[in-house]
Amino acid sequence: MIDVNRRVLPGFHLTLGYTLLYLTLLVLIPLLACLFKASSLSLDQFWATVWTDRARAAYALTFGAAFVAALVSAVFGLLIAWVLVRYDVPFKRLFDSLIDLPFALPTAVAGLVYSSLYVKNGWLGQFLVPLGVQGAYSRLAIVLVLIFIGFPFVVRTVQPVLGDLEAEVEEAAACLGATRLQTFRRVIFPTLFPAVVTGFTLAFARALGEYGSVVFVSGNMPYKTEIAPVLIVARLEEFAYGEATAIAVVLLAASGAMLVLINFLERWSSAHVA
Amino acid sequence: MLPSTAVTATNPGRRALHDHRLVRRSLILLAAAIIGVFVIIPLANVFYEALAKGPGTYWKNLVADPDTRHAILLTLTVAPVAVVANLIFGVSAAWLIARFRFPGRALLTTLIDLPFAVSPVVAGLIFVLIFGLQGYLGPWLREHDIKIIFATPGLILATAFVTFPFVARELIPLMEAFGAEEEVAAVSLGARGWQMFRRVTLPNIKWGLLYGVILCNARAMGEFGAVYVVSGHIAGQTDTMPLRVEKLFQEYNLPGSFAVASLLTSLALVTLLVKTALEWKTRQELESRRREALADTEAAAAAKNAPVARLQPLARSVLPSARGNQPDRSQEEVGVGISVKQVTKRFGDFVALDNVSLEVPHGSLLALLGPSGSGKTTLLRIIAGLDVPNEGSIHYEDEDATHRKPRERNVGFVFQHYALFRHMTVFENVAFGLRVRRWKEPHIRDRVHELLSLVQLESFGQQLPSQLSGGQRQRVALARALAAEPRVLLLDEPFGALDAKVRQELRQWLRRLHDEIHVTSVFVTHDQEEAFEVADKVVVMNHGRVEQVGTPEEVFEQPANAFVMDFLGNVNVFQGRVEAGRAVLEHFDAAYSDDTRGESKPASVYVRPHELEIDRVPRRRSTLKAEVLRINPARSVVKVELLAGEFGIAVTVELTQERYAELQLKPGDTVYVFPKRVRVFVEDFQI
Repeated sequence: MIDVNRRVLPGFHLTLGYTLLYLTLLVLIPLLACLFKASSLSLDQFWATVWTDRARAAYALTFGAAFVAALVSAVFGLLIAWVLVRYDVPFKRLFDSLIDLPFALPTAVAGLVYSSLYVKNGWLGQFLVPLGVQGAYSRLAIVLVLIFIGFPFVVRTVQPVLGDLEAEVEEAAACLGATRLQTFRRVIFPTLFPAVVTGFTLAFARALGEYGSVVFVSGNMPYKTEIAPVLIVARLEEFAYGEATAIAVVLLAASGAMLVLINFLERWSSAHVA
Repeated sequence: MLPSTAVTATNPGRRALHDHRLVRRSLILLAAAIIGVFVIIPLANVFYEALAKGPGTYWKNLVADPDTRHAILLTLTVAPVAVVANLIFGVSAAWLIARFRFPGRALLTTLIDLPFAVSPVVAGLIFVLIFGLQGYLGPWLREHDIKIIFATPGLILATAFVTFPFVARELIPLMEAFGAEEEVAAVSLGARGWQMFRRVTLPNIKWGLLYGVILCNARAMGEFGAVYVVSGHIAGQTDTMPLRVEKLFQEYNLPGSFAVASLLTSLALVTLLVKTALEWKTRQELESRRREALADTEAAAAAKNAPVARLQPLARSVLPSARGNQPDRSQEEVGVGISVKQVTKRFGDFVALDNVSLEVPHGSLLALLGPSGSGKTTLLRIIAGLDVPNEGSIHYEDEDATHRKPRERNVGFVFQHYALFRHMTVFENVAFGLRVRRWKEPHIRDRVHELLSLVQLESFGQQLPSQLSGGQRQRVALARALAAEPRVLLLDEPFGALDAKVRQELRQWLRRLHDEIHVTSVFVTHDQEEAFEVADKVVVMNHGRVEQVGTPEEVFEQPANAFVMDFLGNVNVFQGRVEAGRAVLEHFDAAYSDDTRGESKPASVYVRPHELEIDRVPRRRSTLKAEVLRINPARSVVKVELLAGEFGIAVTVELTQERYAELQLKPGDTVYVFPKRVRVFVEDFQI
């Protein structure tokens, strides 16, 4: 169907032109400007900016918290998807809709409310703080809010795959003498695995760049609870644009890698599901 | 995969899928706990904290503070502008990516996702780098007194960047799932680009579009990081609602902060509500589509509902014919309706049509017959203008139409799967070609009623295509194709999706219809019986070439070559040689006068099953000894399968019931077979 539709259906040149123009103006040129700006620094300068102790601590926290949160999200998401697809639960539709709340809720609101929940006299903090669990202004706080933001990605990627799973496969496993657990481990989970990985990656990518919620809950203490985007803002507020850009480039490289990875995983999982 | 095999909770019969009660309960509890702690408690907390000091304070916090008021207004300005910009982009990108194939398409799809992966803070930063005071355009902007950063335009840019992919991402899979069939149909009916988009594409994607807009809007209103960087946090000037939440929080004005947050949360809840409704709506539409597709193949259902049996012989002159007064079919045909001249079409290395030439007499009905992959549909699409030939030309009467767009050709095209516009009633479907040609309303009404009576669906005008049976839908498609008085009518496997009985009735009806309206017609089929029954002339195609053109009788009785012989009905093939004017097999021989030079050549002898005769004794010189393997007498002719031991080949013979009764054959009997008529093919030569 190479040039079939292009001749029959109208609008190829118009939409191609407009799409490329808009993409170039709004996305590509600004991103290139960022790389260009970073290239005005010499390699030494660049290195000195992006590899300070404070920056390293921020990267480690950003990646570490995002990774842990995505991992927890993967487990939570799989569990919730399972319950929503397989079991009859009261108010299922309501629960199902609520899963999307983190997509719709401004992250600033999430940050605000999470910070108020886990402080000493907050709804959850009043029980947790006496136990020594600091759910606000700590690294744990960052992970908690990133789980909130990440787990819907896993639910939404796993749910359709689980729903499309052929019943016969499980019945076959049962007929062949497998227990439920064996069936899950050997038959169901391998089928779901690509979707779980995709969901994990989406949650991880989203958590890497998250700013709005983290800035509320973390306390932004350098070396302790300061994430990389906060560092960029701090540099910007000092009008140190070059340094801010250098750190931004590091984050951009990470997100570029994530994008490639997500694309690859989506192709991989669709190949495995089909 | 059929939806019925999917595992759902509404699958109580499947015992093997049931988890132990304890497992089930603890998993449900765990899931509920997670959703409770991570979603529901925070949700409740927002409203609790906002209203903790009473509704009066809440209201004051929202309205009395001018900066908060301004923030609400600003958000209501910035978000819609960004959403509309991304909506236009999304539709454009989705049309491009879902409807066309071009180099770089995969890269473009990835690039559209790029803003998803970029941290919002970085998104803000890149605009500061360009438009900020120290940015690349900063000095120029200051000179011209244009403020972008720390002003509303910057907020819009940053918001548009962050919400860039939402609409496109939603639309691309949706449009791919819907397919382009209806749009191609609209174009073939004469719709211009905008007419097609407004009348066909938009109604199909409207729910998905709205869904994308809702998501885009939610993100736009809630965006924090990118906006934070470009805003400069000037209270009362550049603070949007999320920024206001943060500022009040920093100022330890928690009730104020929560008041604004509760407003944003309400917005998110409304978004969820609309989203759920839209998801349900889109899913329903896709499912009804899938059901229709299934119904097409469910022959029994179609047969049950299809009132084709009621199809009456056509009343005379219901339809003033497209070309005015045409001569009666019994008279000599005048002129050429369509001519195809030396058309070649390649798809990459594959040659779909190889130098094909063809003439369709004016007012006749011609069948393109061939196995799949023979190029017949490609030829039909080229005649319609849906494909372009690499070489050669297409003429309508005297006019070269090769480079005419489908819209300009005035053809009626009937698609195999109908391609009816499913959001339009039957009436509107038929009226489509007239509306895009801007006919006057009373004329449209008359014409549509005329056509609906022609296809005998007068009372179905207000129904939707989904309420009709397969046969009825096909007739609507036919009426739609005929409405704008096309010069030629093209039908692509028109009965392919129908079950045998409906197909039979519909093709007789089509023949009668054609006798009435005499529009030059070409139809594609792989069913020789259908071609023979309906067509004036049959074109047999194979491997992109025309093997033979002729009346049904001609191609059946005088096949031009082995392929045509083989394709049109069952045949027994014997390998032998041609020498000295005779075709010689072991025990058969036949005159072969084309080649009397005496050179011995390999040849194939083709004999149709009904042209073989069986005898109990070897009565003639040219016979073949064989053993009866199987007899199938349950038809109007008796099919006897034999094994000719000497040749080691199976032979099929068809006997009349009388002859079978006479012979009293049983499996295992030894009999003698001789041909009443043979055809010998040496390479491309024939008797």
